[in-house]
Amino acid sequence: MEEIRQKLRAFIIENFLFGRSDEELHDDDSLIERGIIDSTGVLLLVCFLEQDLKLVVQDDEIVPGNLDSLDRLAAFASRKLGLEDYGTVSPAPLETVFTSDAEAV
Amino acid sequence: MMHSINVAEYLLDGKSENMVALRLPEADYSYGDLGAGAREFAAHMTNAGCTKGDRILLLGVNSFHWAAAYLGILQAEMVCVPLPGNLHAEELEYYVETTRPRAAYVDAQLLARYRSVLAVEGVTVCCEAPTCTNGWFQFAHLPAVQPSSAPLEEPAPIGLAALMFTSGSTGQPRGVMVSHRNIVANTNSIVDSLQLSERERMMAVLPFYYCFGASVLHTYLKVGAMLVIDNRFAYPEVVLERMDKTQCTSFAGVPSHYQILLRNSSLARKRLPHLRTLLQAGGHLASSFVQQLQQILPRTRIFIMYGQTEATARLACLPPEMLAAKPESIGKAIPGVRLRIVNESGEEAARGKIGEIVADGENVTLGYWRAPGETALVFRNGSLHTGDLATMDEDGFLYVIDRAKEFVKCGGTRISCRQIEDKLLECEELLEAAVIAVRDDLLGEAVRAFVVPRQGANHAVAERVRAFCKSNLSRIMIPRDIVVLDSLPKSSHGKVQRMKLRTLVADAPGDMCIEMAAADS
Repeated sequence: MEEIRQKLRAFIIENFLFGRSDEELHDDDSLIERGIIDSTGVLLLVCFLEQDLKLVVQDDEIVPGNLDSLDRLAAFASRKLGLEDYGTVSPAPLETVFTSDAEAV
Repeated sequence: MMHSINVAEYLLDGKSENMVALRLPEADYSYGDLGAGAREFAAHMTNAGCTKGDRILLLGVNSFHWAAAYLGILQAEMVCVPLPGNLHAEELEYYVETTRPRAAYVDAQLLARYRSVLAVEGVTVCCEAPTCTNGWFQFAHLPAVQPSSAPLEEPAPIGLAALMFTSGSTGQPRGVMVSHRNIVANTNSIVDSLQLSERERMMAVLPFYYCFGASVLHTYLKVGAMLVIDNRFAYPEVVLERMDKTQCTSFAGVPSHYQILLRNSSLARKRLPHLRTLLQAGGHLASSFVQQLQQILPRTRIFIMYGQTEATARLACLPPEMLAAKPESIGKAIPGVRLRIVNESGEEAARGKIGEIVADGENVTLGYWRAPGETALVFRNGSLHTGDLATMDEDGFLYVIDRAKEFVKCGGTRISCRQIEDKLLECEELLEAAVIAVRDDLLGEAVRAFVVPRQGANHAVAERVRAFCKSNLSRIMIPRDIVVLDSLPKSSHGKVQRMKLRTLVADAPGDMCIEMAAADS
């Protein structure tokens, strides 16, 4: 789980903060509110989750509730991979957070 | 004594307190809440020692607190400086040095990032309060680590409402000085030309720190309508669903919003029965997209509009019923604005002849902040020289040709970059396209096309686009180079940054694909 979190952090810093190490990224920072992600970025992120972390992401799971911060990403990935540590993120209201799954990992 | 115009009063006076002004995902905020929040913010600033003409930075995404702080600053006759929330610290330093602010409103989440830049002696920093039991705002109490800036030599012009920073093609962003009078005049004109009413529900995705977004805020508040604020356009499906749920009647966007909605979302399969009005500005939207919008949303009225920050926001509008008769036109001047096409000799060009659009009206802004040289070049004799080339037809409709730099001189023939882009975008596989001129030993200049496919970037896309070009473009327009990208570099206003495209690839000819680092696994 920690390894996944590190991979996610590295990916975000590399692609949305342009590798700048002086840019702080807190685990609960909203990528939307930080203004560092656009729709191309979201597609890139999903691509990373599928290719690097081997998740199968359904269309209706592409929502801020699952993807908009390191915490949310880590929790989403953990749930998908069936890991114990789900983190402490509560689902955002008005959004689908997690669809029923049949994904093989 | 003449009562001077104040935008906050102009927007909020006479509104029914309980009417919803802003609908956010977490809550509704009424006109009463906006008024109370604005008064509270104004009082905070005054108590902190800020006075008329002092600059106050605004940093954050669209929100109730942003709007309340904005209106509070205007109410107190201070000068608002709205900025994007994704600035690097040194970019913010530039704005702090240039505007010498006395205070800043900052979204709590951004505070940690900008702490050191804002910790200037004498600068008060304010955030949204986590709960509104003691009021809407709280002070951040940053210990000052930098000495206070020396005071400015001359005070800000009287009646100045905001500094709206806009980037030119070279150099640092310039602050356009927008007055209360400018905003009121332009808001009245736009409300008139769009025939807005209080029954509207506008899906507001455009950032308020951008003049188009600000004009959406002004115009819909003025008529007492509702703005449904949503900052999640990075997830277009989420925004579409919200538009449906909240029964939005209107949407406003720049070309990339519409490109994404048409080619990378389920818009075509959605029923949005309440949607009646689409506003488009911020650049040219290719005809193929306009036609698609008309096909998918036959009951909406599409307003193609033209303007610039130097004109407060809007200058011209094409009435929806003229879309068929005058495709590619930006329409005519909105009420209160005069537009002329002026040739190099400074005379009005004959109909059909190319010249520069020169604008007059109460919406022409005061000039650039602390940049007298540039101001003198652009704002001559009280008129705004837009830098946009255009023609006017016999019926008085305007057609923007291209900015002077956006041509390719290929073997002696001048080809418009936009013409090639528009043609490329007829290829359904593509989301975006941008064309620039590059040096060519044989022809002087050649066409380099940057294309963004709807799905991922790869070499096969270049092959298919080249095949499309061969079948659909005249020989002289076929690009020498086709470069496939995951996205085009854009400014925070969503405009394609052509300067960045020029340096992206070395001069070697040929097709290539530049994939983002992450795709390499």
